[in-house]
Amino acid sequence: MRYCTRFAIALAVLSWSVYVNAEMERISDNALSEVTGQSGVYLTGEVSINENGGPLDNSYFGDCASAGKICGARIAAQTQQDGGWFVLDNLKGTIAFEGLTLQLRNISSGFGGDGALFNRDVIEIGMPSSLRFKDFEYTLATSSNARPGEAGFQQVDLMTVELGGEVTLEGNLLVFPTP
Amino acid sequence: MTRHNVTQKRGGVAVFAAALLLTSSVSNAELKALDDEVLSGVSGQSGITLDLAAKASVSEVAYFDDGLGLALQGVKLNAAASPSDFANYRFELDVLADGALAIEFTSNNVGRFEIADMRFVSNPGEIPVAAAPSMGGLFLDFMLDGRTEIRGGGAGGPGTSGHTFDTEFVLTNGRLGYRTNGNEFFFDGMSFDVSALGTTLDVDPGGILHLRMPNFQAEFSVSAVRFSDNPANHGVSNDVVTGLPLPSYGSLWLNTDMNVDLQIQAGGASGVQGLTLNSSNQINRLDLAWGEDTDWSSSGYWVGALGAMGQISFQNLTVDVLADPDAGVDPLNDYGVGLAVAFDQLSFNLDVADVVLGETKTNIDAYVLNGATPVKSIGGMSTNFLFADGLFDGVARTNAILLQAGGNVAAGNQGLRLDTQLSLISPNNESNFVYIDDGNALMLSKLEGFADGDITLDVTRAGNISGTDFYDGLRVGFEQFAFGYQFEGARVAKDTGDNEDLKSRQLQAGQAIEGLSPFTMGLAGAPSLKGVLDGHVTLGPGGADGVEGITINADLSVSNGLMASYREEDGRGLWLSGLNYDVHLRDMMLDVTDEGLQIYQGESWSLLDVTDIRIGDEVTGASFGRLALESFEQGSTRTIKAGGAGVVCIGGAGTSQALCEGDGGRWEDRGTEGITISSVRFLQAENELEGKRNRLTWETGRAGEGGAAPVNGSGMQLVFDNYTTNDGDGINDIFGLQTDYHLDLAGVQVVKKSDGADSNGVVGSKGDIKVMNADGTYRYVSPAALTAQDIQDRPVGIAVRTRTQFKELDFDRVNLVHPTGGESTLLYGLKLQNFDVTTDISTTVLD
Repeated sequence: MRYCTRFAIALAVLSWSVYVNAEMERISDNALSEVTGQSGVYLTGEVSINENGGPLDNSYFGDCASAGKICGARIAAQTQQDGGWFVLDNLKGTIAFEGLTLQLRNISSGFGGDGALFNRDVIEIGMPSSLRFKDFEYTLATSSNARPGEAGFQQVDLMTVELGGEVTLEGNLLVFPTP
Repeated sequence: MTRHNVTQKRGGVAVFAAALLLTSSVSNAELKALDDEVLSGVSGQSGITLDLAAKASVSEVAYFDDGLGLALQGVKLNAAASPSDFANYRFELDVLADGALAIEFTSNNVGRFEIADMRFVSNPGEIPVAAAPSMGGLFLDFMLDGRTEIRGGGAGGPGTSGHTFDTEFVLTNGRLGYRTNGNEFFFDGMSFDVSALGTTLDVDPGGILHLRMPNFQAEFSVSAVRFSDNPANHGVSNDVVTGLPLPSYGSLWLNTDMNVDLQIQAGGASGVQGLTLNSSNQINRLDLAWGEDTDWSSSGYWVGALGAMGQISFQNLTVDVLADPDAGVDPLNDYGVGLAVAFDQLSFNLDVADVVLGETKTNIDAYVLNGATPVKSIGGMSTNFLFADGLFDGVARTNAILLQAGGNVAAGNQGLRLDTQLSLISPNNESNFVYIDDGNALMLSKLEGFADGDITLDVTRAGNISGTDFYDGLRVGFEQFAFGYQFEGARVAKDTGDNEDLKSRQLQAGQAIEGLSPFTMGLAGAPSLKGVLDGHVTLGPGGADGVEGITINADLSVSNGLMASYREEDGRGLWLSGLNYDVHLRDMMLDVTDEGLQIYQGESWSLLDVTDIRIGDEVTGASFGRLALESFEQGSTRTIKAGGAGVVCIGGAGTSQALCEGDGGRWEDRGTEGITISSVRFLQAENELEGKRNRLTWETGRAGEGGAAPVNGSGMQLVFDNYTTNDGDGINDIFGLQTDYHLDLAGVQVVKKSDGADSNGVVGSKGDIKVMNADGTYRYVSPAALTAQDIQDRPVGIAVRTRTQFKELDFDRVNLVHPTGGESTLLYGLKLQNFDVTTDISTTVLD
């Protein structure tokens, strides 16, 4: 159940940007001092995707040292029945962060008067002071098949994004539940 | 002094001890004539030798308390080989030079003492009705060899009233069994080696019987814990029909050194009769272990809790025979008279030095002997419980258990029912749980809880009786079993060896820790959980690896539940509110291998339906809507191993510190202890006929949304349906969804995020590193000034490293469902391929 719950929460988090009113804001030192209680948690760590390749080894996927093969992960979605596939391909890289914080915060004022109307708790995600991308990349593509290697497989790579270096983020992400 | 009505039918007497002493006079016992040689010893210095052959059968031995009775029916003492054979003993009595009476006792064959039924009766000598509810039967096989010396003078020393006993004995060839409805669960090949020197028995002022055992040492071992579903079997190791060994759960071993102090006085909690006990016991040493497919040396593997110390004490534990509190109030839940055990307070503290997984008995023995032999340890644990009257959720709770006859009603008339009320309190953080890993400690602080409902205990065989499915094994049932627990958060710091130090460390918000709840199907480890539990867990014999092991079949449901996956000190959190959880396990098998504890899940399916995911208050907090998660797996496995992540490189790559730091990473050594859980899961395609599938549903905008009772199914649903694993070809599924989960307690890099004072008034600059002082306070140090000791003194956190791999996760469809507009497909397919994701996240206290 725990795995499942985590998975569910992860999916819910992924979906927040669509279904939930999330808002980034910069909090002044003065406002910070008014945050009551510091009983949240401080997180540091990394997320690494296919750093050395994935578990598939076939004509399309291989380890990152294999020339002509993809070692990243692949997500394919079909929006029309029997139609083509939108693909996020060769997804790989590492994101390391320090100082992501998580706590609850009561919103009862501000936000153009909406805060007083809301008057409830939200999730406050404090942006990490350091976010480091290492060899992070993915390719957007369209494809005839979800699985490379199937009969008639064709794919058009639209663009590849590569990210590297350090990013400093400030402020908080507030997640408002509005079902 | 309590008066006890005594019923004596064909020689029945009030208490078991008296029954044993009197069997020779009231039943078919036999005293052998002493030969001339022995008789000569009576008058000489070599004492008296008595050879006793006993075969006793007593219809009923009953204990009456305020007019209600507990009857032991069908009490027998004879040879284990056959009820018609005598149990033979030799007693040698001597008077020693200091006046002590020395008694040496030896069994000449294996004896059996048994009770066919334990029932509650209204009158002495009632003729038993075979189908009447019974708590079931017990039997004990034994060979005894030992010696006791009895001296005048109790705890006050020679010359005082009371007596002193120096006793040493060994019980061998033992069996201890519990039998209900023709099925048996028993310890086979049992031995019990006891030394209890300096034991005193006194009668204190007020008529209190006072037993002190200052040197109680014992080693207990069971070669096989067996199960029989053949009614023709009774106290045998091999099935009488097939001749094959009865299936086994494995072996048990326990070693202890205790100081025992027990006081017994007359009068219970109700009426004028009954018993009241007070006890305070020091556990100087305790080692216990379960092994399977083992030769008790280098073959076969064990899990164990080694090098434990602690105490257990209770105040005013009362024993009465009482009617069910539901009698005359709720007839459907009136299960009759029972033995009521209640107490004012019970405290239990146990510090386990090492919890080992996958060790040989040879290594365990060496470790117990010298304390230095390396073992596969996840670290240490400290469990501290204080049970006493208290409040949970604003409701008064108490501690009382009523043992009733019958067990599960459908399983047959024999079985045990425990009408249970428990109250775990922690006003000053007396109750908590501590895990120690490589010198770092995590305390789940201020643990509180309660239970109120019925637990049933039956030994059952597979089959359907009256519409209820039963499985082979020891069945633990739950009927309207309300429960709840919560802890205020986590306190994480370097271990000083004293839990009191941890109590003053900073409190971190509570969060679900998967590694601490591997056996509870996710129903523990969360900072707060409450609900009503129904269903059963049946523990059968045999595993997937070798012959021995444990096979689990379970059907459990939690209704009206509330679970926090994150909870702050003031009670606000992330809540799964209106939680209904229904889980089924078929042939889940537990084995111990050299890797650790291995769990093979035959088939499992479940539905987790959460009415509201709330933020903030558990009742009034804003909701994200409803979440329903259905799971269906076959052949999944999970292995729990000793040892965590070991050395890791965070934010970089490299197999050495130099290479890691050269790549911009941070090198961390998380030690040799910790917990690793490796799982391989196979997500199955939908089985419409049996209602099993993998599906995730998120529903919002329901009728009554935001209120106390939103109507499920009336809103808009986003449905991820019928997702399965495969090997990337859509056909085979050998790889599955693989996860390695490592849990450690380790130093965490905490970087100050702004200039000035933090929430505790500690001043530092943005970018400074948090360093702990010895007294639990902390300071900020600039990275340039950081010393090696400062790095050692970074705050301790919970470090979780997870690696998840799958070849393909295939979502059949993603749908949008409107209550009136119907279902429309958002995605006709979603396939995730070739994933190998590692996350390494450490959490620690915020400021």
